Amino acid sequence: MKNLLTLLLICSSFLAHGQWIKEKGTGYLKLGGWSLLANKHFTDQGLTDPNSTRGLFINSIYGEIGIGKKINIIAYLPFFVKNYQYAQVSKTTGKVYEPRQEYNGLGDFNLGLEYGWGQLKNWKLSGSLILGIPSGESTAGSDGSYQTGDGEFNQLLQINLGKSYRINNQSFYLKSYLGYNNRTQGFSDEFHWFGETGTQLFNSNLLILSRLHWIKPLYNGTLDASNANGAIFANNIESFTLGGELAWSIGEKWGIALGTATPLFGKVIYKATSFSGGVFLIF
Amino acid sequence: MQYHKPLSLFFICLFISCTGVDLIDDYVPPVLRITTPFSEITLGDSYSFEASYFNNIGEFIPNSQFEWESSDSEILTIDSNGNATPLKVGTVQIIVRTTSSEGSVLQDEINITIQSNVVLVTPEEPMEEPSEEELISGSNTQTPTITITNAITHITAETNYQLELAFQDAVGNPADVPNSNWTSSNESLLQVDETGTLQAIAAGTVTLTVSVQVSNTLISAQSVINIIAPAVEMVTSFSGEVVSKSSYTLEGSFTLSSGNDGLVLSLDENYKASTALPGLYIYLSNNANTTAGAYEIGAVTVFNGAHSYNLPNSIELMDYKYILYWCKPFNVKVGEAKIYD
Repeated sequence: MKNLLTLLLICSSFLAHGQWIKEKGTGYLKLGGWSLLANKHFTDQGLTDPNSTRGLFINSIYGEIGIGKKINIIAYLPFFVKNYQYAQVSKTTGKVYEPRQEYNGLGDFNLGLEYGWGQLKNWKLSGSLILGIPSGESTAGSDGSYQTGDGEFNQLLQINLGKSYRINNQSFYLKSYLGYNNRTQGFSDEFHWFGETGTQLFNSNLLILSRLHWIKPLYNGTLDASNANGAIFANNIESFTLGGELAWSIGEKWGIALGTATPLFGKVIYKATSFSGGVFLIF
Repeated sequence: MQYHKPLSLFFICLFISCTGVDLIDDYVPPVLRITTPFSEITLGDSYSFEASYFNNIGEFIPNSQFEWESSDSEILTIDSNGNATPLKVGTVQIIVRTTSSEGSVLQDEINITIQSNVVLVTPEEPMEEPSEEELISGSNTQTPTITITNAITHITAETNYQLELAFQDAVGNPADVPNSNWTSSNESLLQVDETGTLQAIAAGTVTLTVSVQVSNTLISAQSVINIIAPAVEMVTSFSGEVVSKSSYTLEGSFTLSSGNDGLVLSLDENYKASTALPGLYIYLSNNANTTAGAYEIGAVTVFNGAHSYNLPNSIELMDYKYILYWCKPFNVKVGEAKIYD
């Protein structure tokens, strides 16, 4: 259920990490791992309830490559998704009620284009269309809940803004986007807002950044428990997530990145902090 | 490359979190429960009482050993197998005990009212004593008589009753009852043996005749008896409220009742459940903290308004103490209802 949203959050964090529109033939690639372990979640009322401990582990490739003067292609490819649950054991007797379960598979791929519109005063302006390909499994595991994807084809349309600014001779950047995610299969459409700011330290070898991501459902979907016919779904999910990342340039073109994110509030999502790490390549 | 080791370590750390267990806090106090919901029984029959022992995780333990006791053995006796015989009208407490696996003695008790299974014939007005003149002028020879001394007008079906006879000889003196012959006008409703023991079978009206042969004279007495339906009273339903034990909406009244073909769990018009939670299931359980060992009624498909579930015949009214609503895939307790205390 909530796993699906966490997939979305991952996508957003990876998607946001790119910089401005790349020149043709240049790009950014990242091979990453992402992990989340949760034993509680935000309910549909926005309150916190416990759940059996569930985890997601994802290996992915994220890339932005310039294919024209103003066009980038964007891809997020979760090529390995592990969805698992801890064994359920009686505290009183030690009896195993449910053994540990997991399902491994492909996640939902995201493919998109970003087009640079140019400059608006001192803001860089671009637009993106990102397609969510339902390449993952929407029904997986013993009870169908070990999904690696949501089973729907969605289209996220974004307007991106970015600028540089200085504080006390230290250069920073600011990126933001507004997005509308059109979802299918009865899922509610979503409004997205994203903001990220960061700066480079130690002779530009260390990038430190923080980000906020708000996803707000429009409650125009039809999918709920009364018509899901037993399918495991997560509709009308909402989250406001705070994250941060350190990217350390080790070589001339590559480095490692470590990140974390936590939902400050939400609905129908896990309440847990995620951790990520990866190796990036700039070319 | 010099950084591959810390990088590998990082990924290993991410994987380490993939293993672990959730310890389910599933302890509940062990309980012993009398599961035969009699509240009122009648004389003239025997009754079998049953009990169930549930251990510290609410698991039913079959073939447990019980000790049965009656609070007043003059009113009711009960043997080691829970077979009770009411002896006279009154109120009595039936107590059952067992020893839990933890060594503690568990006890349950119920109060039982014992009703008479018969209605005695109202004693008639005493006949006037004959005058002295009548005694002198009259003959001192009478026709022998036979009388049912504890005659009844009503008896409860499925019970028995012992009739008693009195005999007066030709001079009006009490005497031993000669060999008697008992007959019932309808043996499918009431049977009687040669000792006058009645066995009421089904509701209806029967004429009972007893006769004795004295010399060449056949003397008889008759009694009309109405057989009425069994009067055993049992608890046949429980009602209560379903309440949310989570942040998800769940509320409504329920009734668990005996139907023609097993128990029926009915949710009332005021029932409402959240549709935001997938995989909502309903269970019957003896442990409100887990669905392990619970009976899974099925997936919830109605989220608003009255509806019902037909339960299989194998489930008795007092087999389970809780109704649980549970998000099955994510093991989230959504709500519960206590069926009885």
